[in-house]
Amino acid sequence: MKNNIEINRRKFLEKFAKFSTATVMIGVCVACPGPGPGVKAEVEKYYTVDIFDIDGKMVKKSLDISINLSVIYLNLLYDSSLSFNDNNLIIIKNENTKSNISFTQNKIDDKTLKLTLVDNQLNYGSYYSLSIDNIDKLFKFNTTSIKLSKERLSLSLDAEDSVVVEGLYIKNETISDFTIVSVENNYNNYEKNGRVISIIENKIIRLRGFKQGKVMLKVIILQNNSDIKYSGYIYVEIT
Amino acid sequence: MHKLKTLLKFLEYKEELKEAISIRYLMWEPSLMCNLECIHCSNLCTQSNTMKSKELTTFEIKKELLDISKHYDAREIYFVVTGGEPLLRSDLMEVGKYAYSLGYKFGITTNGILLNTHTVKALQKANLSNIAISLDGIASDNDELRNYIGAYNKTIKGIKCLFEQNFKGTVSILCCVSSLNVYHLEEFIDELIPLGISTIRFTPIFGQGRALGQKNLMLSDKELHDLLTFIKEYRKKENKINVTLGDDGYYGVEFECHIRNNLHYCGAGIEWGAILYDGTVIGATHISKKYKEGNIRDNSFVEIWKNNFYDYREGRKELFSPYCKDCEEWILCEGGGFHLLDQQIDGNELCGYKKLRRIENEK
Repeated sequence: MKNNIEINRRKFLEKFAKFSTATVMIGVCVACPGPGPGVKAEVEKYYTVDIFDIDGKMVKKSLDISINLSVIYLNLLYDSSLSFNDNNLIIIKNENTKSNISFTQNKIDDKTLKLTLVDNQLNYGSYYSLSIDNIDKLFKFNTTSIKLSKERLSLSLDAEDSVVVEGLYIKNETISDFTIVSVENNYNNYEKNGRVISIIENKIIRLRGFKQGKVMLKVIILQNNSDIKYSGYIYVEIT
Repeated sequence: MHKLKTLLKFLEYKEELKEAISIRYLMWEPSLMCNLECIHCSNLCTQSNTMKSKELTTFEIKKELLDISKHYDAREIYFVVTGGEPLLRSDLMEVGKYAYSLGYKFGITTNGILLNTHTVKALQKANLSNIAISLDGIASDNDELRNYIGAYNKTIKGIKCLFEQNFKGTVSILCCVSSLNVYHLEEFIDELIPLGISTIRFTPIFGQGRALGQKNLMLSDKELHDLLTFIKEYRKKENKINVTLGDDGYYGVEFECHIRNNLHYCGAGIEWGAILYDGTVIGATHISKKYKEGNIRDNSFVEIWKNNFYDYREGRKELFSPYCKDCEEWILCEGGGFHLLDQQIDGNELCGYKKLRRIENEK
């Protein structure tokens, strides 16, 4: 009996799919006398990107946000032909200071935008609102820092040396229980030959082959006992 | 094949939502008092508020908002104030501000007449993010339905004020479609475009409240079909305004995903819940009171939300079986909008899909 029901359901859906001339989309529209769906895109992920020099001094502080059009409000998949275009009006506002924040925008694909905002007022636990045309989203982020050893490095061609990651700082707390997931030689480095050769004991990054100059490494760290990943950049000056 | 996969995914998600017992739209009907007495009101709102003594106090609603925020992530919840006319509640801004401070998004539905520089500024200050304004067609249609000559002009003035005051939230129009205005909608849309409105949502009239006495306003089979065809065709064009149908019911393969962005889905009692003026807890504000699930004066909303609502979730099929038994469209329809259940006008067909089929059969 149950099998018959399943077969009938399937037959109906196949028929619907066959005869529908629309792009079949799922999501939620609200009939109730309240505001309509309004939200058609979600902030998929966001993380602070802090750039430090080897002395532990912060060079730049920014926030990366990925927005994905394929996920919408109420967690239903929005399988649609919608895509971001150049005319989308995007506004990011710091809800604490009520000021609009400037940002750079990179279109990863038709459904994903990456926004990088550099805000001198980036504060711990700030609320930011993001609106894309009529889509709005309020989100909160925690500023994350990856602190480095202050020992100065001396690297040269073919030499091997290491950077010690001392801790992960979230809000004002230090988290020592973390794992370095990956370290990448930043694509924008002038010197492409240098490479990361290993990560030792989850804390020490060993490098080889960088010439004199400036090196930026992208580090992804996983806070242990949670599934939260943080990303940051380490800025190393090789002398 | 891709469409089939999407449909299967949709069914899977619907089941997951029923099990998740989360809340995304929390509606609050603060009062039955209204500055208008519309002839098609689904809620029997009046200018003389005889129910005032039963209304929830500021303390009661704030307490409930706080409690809900302790059990759910308030940042994921839209707190929507309906009515009556919410702007007549003197503590609206206070409650809105409080909700926002807990993380809720705050929206209201209003007839717009009381929007002026003072109220708009206060709403901005209360962090209102979304305002839906009820306006039911061109001036002559709207004023007849609103039972007040000049209501249209007053609402338009209120909308203009919103934009003049640089209101940052979303502004949309809700239009109840009846046999009176169904053939004047294009003209109406043309009037809204210059105002800067981004979305207009049409909802067919249904038989609740004062609308019960207005049989002549109910859409005939043909009028419903013409309304859906109009929306479908309008959406095909390059438009300056987003025209859509509220998710009031399921209309079959010919119209689903054409008249709105998505397949029909009714989240009443699943992800939408409402607290009425007297504390009654129900799936949405305009559902027949027959389907109330409790009262926050007896139990907390969270308690009611987590433990009750059988009819809306697991028992939905059983509840709709007198109307929907053996209908193969059930999988996608699930009885349509819950608010259509228990319509009390004799002979008024509950099922929009059947109305459309009758038209097809006549052809």
